[in-house]
Amino acid sequence: MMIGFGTLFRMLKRLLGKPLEDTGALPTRYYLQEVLNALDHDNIGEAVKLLKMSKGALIDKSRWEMVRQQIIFRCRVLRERHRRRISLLEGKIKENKNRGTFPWQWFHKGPAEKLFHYKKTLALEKQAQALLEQYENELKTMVKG
Amino acid sequence: MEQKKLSIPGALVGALVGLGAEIAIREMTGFDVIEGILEIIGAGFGLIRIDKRIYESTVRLLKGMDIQPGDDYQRIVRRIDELTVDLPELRENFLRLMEAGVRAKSA
Repeated sequence: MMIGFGTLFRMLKRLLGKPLEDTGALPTRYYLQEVLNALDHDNIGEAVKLLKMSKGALIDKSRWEMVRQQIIFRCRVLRERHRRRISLLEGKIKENKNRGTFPWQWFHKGPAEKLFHYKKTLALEKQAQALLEQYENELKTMVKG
Repeated sequence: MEQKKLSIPGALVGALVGLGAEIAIREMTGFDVIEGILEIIGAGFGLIRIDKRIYESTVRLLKGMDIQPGDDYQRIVRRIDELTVDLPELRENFLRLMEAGVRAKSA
């Protein structure tokens, strides 16, 4: 009997969960589950969006707060990773620039391509870091009433 | 179109009958109808497992902290302190998990 109900509600969740998600009308715990699923995949943007939607019952205040803190923590860990990568890439770019271009390297595309790749990756890393910082600031200002 | 009439006494009687039935079922069978229905609804949305899910996520976050194989306990705690400056509840949970891990290892 319970298994039957479980399956039925899982189906209902699948059918109604996603369409109703944006309304913010679903229970806080539903959103928290989805936030944690997004966090598992390091999808911080989705996690922040869903956490904002959960209006929250008073009973789930501590759970909501714990999930908020978990997202902030993950943002910091990921930002730290990006910071390390940025520092590594900046070192590589500096190293490549210091070498200069000698006449016998003019027709050798390798270093130029590498430099371009490093710069492109560096821009992406900085963008990701800035985005994470923005999410972290948003989460810091989100306090449940 | 015929206007529907709402009867307040009727609603009150209905509520009382429902409450009476719920109490009678609980007294006779020991099964709490309302709690049972809420549990079923909750189970459907995976809501009952939320605390377990939060715990699992806490463990996952701790594991994903970029800990080096040579890092000792104090160093990891310092790292946790740095990352959880304004996150007291999470810090407490992490430290509890760490202590439990150390105790399990030494046992």
